[in-house]
Parts: sequence; structure tokens; C-alpha cells
Amino acid sequence: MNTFYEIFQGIGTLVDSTFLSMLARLSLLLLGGLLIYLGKRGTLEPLLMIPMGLGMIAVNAGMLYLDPVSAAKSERLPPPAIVTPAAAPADPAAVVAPVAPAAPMRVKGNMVVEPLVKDNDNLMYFMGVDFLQPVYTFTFSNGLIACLVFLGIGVLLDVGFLLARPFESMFLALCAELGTIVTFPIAVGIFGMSYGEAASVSMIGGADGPMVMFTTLKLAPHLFVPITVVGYLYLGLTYGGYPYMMKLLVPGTVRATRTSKKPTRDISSGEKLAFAIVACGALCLLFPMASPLFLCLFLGVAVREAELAPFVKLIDGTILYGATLFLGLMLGALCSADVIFDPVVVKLLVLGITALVLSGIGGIFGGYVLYFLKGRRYNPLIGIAAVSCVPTTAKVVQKMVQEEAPGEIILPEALGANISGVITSAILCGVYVALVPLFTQAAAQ
Amino acid sequence: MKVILPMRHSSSRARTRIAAAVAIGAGAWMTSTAHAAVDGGGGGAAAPAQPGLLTAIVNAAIVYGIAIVISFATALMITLMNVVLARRGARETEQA
Repeated sequence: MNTFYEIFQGIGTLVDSTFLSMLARLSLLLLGGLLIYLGKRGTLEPLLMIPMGLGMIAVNAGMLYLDPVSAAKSERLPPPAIVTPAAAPADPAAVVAPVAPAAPMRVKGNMVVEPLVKDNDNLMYFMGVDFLQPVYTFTFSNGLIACLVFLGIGVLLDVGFLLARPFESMFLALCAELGTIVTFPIAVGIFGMSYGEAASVSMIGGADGPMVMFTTLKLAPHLFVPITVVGYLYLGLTYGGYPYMMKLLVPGTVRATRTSKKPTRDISSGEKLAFAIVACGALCLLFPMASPLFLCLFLGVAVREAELAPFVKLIDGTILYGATLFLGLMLGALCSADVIFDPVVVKLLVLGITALVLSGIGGIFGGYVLYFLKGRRYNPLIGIAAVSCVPTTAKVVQKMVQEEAPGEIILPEALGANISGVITSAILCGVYVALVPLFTQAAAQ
Repeated sequence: MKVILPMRHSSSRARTRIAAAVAIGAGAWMTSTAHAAVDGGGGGAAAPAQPGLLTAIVNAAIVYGIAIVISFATALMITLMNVVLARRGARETEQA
């Protein structure tokens, strides 16, 4: 039987583990299948969920015993005990018998990625062993993939919707950041997290994956893997979960409100380009730590508005879809049982959903404020589109409004709020990254 | 008189969801409490002081305040840009 387990190590490692560990792996296998199913059905975002689900299945099924060299380099083995004179027992009689050398520990791992490696030599070793390690090291752990996705988002954004109604859109976006703000003190005061960890998990309320990744890399790199995984799992849920929230918080008659349309002047591409240049320069000047994100977002906008067709084609197609594919696959590959079933993940799950729910409530609250200010001639559902997640929430809102009031088009207003949501999330990311070290310093004094 | 409770229409599925949410919350609370107990019981080197809830609320308010100012400054910049460009457009139309 042992030979069988040695040959088929995926099964061998499953049998040779604690009940909880086995259950965790089996649950993640099923979860991977569920994500693929929900992605195929269109309940969750298929572009992300299908590679993620498959990565999750592969990594949890394909676990094996690492060879001694890999095991040592994986940094999962406890460091060897060194007996120093201070640690030696004072009374020699207390030593009854020499301790027998422990049996060699068998370390389980996979051939996909080793995210927990810190030492540079060990990292170089795994670059040559695990096939996704170069992708993780060169694009994930330095935030490049977040910037590439942001570049793609920039190309998709038509800032004209924001320029046509700036105050209204910015007001909704600020309301829809409620979760990003309120989760921060909850995480610190109730869940006992540090400022950096709290700010990173709070960014899930902004519903922008790249921003969550970037903030975590800057403020809580030790939680990069679990926060990113939890963040993206939840962002998939906005697609399926927000319609229920809208139905719960806004009565049917109000959902059918027809928004009064004011004629807006045409915004030229030159104006949009000028906005991108000024906004990029000003935000980079204010928050240099978040300048890679601002640069990529506004570079995308500038490429689009300058009508650089070959670049638009490259970014919109190859870069955005390539980054999304590897993002999904890598997130799935990072969902191994030992990473996901860390006790801190429970906290992150609770705080992540709190942030997203609060942001949704904040967005709808903002929508209601405009509904009353405009004499009940504004659909409050537009508010939830300000929870950025471009362009998912805007599409979800348009679909729901279409169901309640056939023929009603609120997409321009929703996209204005949506784009403002991206910009306010980037601003909040910059503020957190700049201020959290100062808060931490002040708390230590 | 018939009293209509808000939960009258809630399905068993909705109740299950609420129960699941409460269970997750309770689990998280217990985990964090257990960790706090373990961390606090060591008696080793003093851990860095954990900031309180009030301080965190003040800090969050500062973050939000700065974000509000910058966001509305951006909106103001766009509005000014719109006004200037609209005037220039009107002047060009007049001249034409």
C-alpha cells in the first residue's frame, strides 16, 4: 500500500494528513469546481473564476512530498535547534538521556508555486522548479500585475462620463467608500489588527482588485496572499450579491424611478486627455507611493484619448486579457489548504464582506440623497455603481433598472459614478499608504 | 388587527443565510479572542501597544477627510475646465 501512496503522491499526501487538513483540501477541490460552474453560468465573473477554479483544483489535488533539498528550501521546516550555553540546563542531573534524532520530516508541497519563500537563494531555486514561480515573483510580489490590470482598465474608461457630471459622480463615489473607511477602525479596535493590515483589508471595500493588491504589498506584505485571495473571491461575489442587496434596500417603486436627463455637452478627446495629464500629475505629486497605480490608470486613459490605435489594441487585448488569465490562475494556485486555512483568513473573510456590504450600503445611501435632492427624479440604484469594480457594478445596475423600468437607460450616470469610484479608491489607496506609517509611528510613541 | 412582521416573506433560504452570517461572525470573534488570549498569556517580550478603537476611528476620519478634499478638488478642477472650455467654444462660435 505504501508503494501505491509513493507512486500516487497526490492520494498519498491526502491520506497521510490530519483529518482537518484532508477536509480542507477536499473542500478547496470542491470550491474550485463550484467557481468554474458559477463562472460558466455567468453568476460570477468567468474570466477570473474559470482559471482560478482550475488553479485551485490543480494545486490541492497535485500535492506531493518535496525532495529533501526542496523541503529545506521551502522554508516550511522548523529551524534546527541550537543549544547555547545559556539555554543548557544548569543541573546536569536533569538530563536523563540524550534525545534521539527525530525522524526526517516529510514536507508536502506542489510543483506550481512556493509563495512563502523569503530567502533570495531559495527563491532562485524555486524559479527553476515551480512553473508559476517566475510569474509570481516578477509580477505579483512587486505589484506589476496590479499595474497591468489598471493599465487595461484605463484603456476601457471613458472619463467623459465623469467629466460630464463631476460633483454628482464624486459624491456617489465618496459615499460608496463607506466600507473602506469604517472597516479600518473595526479591524484595528475589534479584531486587533495592525494599522497596515487593517488598511489593506479595508481596501476590499473599494472593490478594486489591483488596489487591494497594491495596498497590501505596501502595508502588510505578510498578508499579501490571503488578502488578495479573499479580496478577489469577494469581488466575484459583487456580480451575484449586489442585486440582492439592491432589492433588499430599495423598494420596487423607487427602483423603477426614471432619472431626469440633463443635456450634457460633448466632451472632446483633447479635454479627456488634458484631464488625464493634470489628474495624473497632481495625484502623483500628492501620493508618490501610489504613483505606479496612478501612472498606469491615466496612461491607459491617455492612450485611449490620444487615439493610439496600436497601443489600444495591445493593452485592451493582449495585456489586459493576459494579465487577467495569469491573475486568475495564480490566485487559484495560491489557494492551497495551508495558506487558506490560516486562522487570520477567518478575520479577513468577515472584514472583507463587511467592507463590501458597507460600501454597497453607502453607495445606495448616496443614491437616496440625490434622489431626494433632485425631487425624486433620480434612481438611487445608480449609487451602488460607484463601488468601482469597473464596469461590473454599472452593468448590474443597468440590468436591474431595465427590469424595473423597461427602456430606461442610466448607463452614462452609472459609468460616471463607476469611474469616479476607481479614482476615489486610488486616492484612498494613496492616503492609506502615505498615512499608515505615520499612524503606526504615532502609536509607538 | 393583523400585524405584518418584516420577516413574514423571508424564506428558509434567507434564514439559512442569516444563520450562516451569524455563525461566521461568531467564529471570527472566537478566533480573534482565542488568539488574543494566547498572545497575551506568554509573558515574554512586551508586544507593541495595540491602538484603541477611538484612535482608529479618529485616524479613519482623517483618511476620509483628506480623500473628500482631494476628490472634490478634482471635481472642482473638472468644473472649472468645463467652464473655460465652454466659454472658449462659445467665443469661437461667435467669431465663426
